[in-house]
Amino acid sequence: MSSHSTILQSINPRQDPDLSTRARLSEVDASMRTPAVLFLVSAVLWLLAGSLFAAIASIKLHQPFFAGNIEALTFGRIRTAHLNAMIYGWGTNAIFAVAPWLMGRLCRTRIRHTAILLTAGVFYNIGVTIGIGGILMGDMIGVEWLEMPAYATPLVAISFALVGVWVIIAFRWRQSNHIYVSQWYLLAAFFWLPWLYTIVQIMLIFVPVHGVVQALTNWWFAHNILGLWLTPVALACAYYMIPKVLGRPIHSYYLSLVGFWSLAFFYNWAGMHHLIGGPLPAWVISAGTVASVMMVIPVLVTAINHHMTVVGFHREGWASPTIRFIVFGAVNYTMVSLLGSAMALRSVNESVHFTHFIIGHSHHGVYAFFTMIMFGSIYFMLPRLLGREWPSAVLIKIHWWATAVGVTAMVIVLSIGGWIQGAQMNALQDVEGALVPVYTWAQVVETQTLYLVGRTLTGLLITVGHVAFAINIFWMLSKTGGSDGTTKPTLLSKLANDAR
Amino acid sequence: MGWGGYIILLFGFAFLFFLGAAAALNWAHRHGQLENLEEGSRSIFDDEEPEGEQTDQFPGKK
Repeated sequence: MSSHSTILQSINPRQDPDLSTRARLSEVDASMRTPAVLFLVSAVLWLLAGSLFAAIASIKLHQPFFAGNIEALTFGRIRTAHLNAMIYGWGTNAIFAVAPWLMGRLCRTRIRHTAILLTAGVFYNIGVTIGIGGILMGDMIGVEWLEMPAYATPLVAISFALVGVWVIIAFRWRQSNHIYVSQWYLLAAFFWLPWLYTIVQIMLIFVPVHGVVQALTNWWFAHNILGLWLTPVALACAYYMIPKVLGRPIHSYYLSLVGFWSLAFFYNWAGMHHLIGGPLPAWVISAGTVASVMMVIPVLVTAINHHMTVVGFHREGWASPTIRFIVFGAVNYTMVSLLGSAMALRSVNESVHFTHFIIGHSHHGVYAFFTMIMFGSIYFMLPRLLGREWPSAVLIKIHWWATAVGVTAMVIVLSIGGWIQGAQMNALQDVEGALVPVYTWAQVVETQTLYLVGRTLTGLLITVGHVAFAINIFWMLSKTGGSDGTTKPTLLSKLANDAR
Repeated sequence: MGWGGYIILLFGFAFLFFLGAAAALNWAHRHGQLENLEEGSRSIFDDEEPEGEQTDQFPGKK
């Protein structure tokens, strides 16, 4: 093995003595063990922290004086800390754990010089901790999803670049002729992320633009973090795990390529749907609406593919924790995207904008789609990295039921509440020849209390799932040595046979 | 920089991106990535994790 190859050799495949060796899957898994575990532990800790921030923020909405005397916990700060902890803390760390491993598996190549990934991981999490600490201390920047103060962001940006470069280098080392659709999605995601981050930092922080272009840039960036970073990675995982676990190839590979390219062409214009009704040129808003509706194409293509791959195998799939989470995620991808396309129409947007419907939608996307798929991917990946089984099937089931029921209930509660909110805010009546609002602001707010309590309760249910997940992970990591003698790992029997 | 400058800059970058995407698609076509799609969908299977075998279950279950 090329344990003595230098970093320069790593960058140029032609200089590696054992270039022709197509690594076995178990080798690839072993090479990612330490970095993936580091990123995964960080991700889970941020998931728990983010859940705590969410609980505080949600309680404050129906109990405004809760923790009212603690400055760091005021709603504006704690809600922002929740967003950043989930996107940058949980989501991006989970991606940094799974994406290099997935790229290595697809390229049939070990991930080399993992020390650099580890360094990136340490810098990244220090940066995010300082950033979120800064938010709670009051140094937040007023740009949605870019709130981490300027003293934290260089560390974050460098880490993005390091991990991204490493994934692309792994791609250069590929031993497979065919580039699988998941590789396209991963390469694209790791190219888009540094681009997005750099441009928004330049255009909003370092050489700031003026006027409404700021809002435009903000939402171009924020929506593309969802559409060009979280979404492609989640789709890459789904396109790999669903066929891999079920042992059946994707139903129509041709369709999956259509889906990738149409996503690449349409998604980046969709960000303007956040500004519908705002003081922007109508063509900008219309472009956002059109792109959002055009997204129906890649979404339906993906839905057909996933559905036709799973159909007839639901019982087998149910027996796999990975499939449960990933299929749930894939189904919700279809739903949240179709709903989103509808919400981008001006007529619908009039009712839902600035209501809790939007919060339901964002949790539908980031949680019911992205996060559930990452959970499924982790359930598949970690046993293969460590060479041992998950310790507890019960904890997996608690995690599954709590999060699946919890997020579904949350989205329903917030959608109903938000729809009512929008309808009430828009309701007008004719009083002596003038159109006046039917409901006062206070009435609208009071009607929402029930739904906000619903949000807190469903969020707490989801958090129960997170705690079960964390316990399972730390339990699994704490088991020393190889397989424990009591349970024979079913899915790892092949690995065990190889090792002999 | 006036709005005209922004239009040129942003549309310029957008066009470069479009060319990049078109180049990537062209690269894929020239390297045979868009042929043999049946084989391509099977490329994730090998002797360690063959096609037809389910590779994940709840722990402790056969």
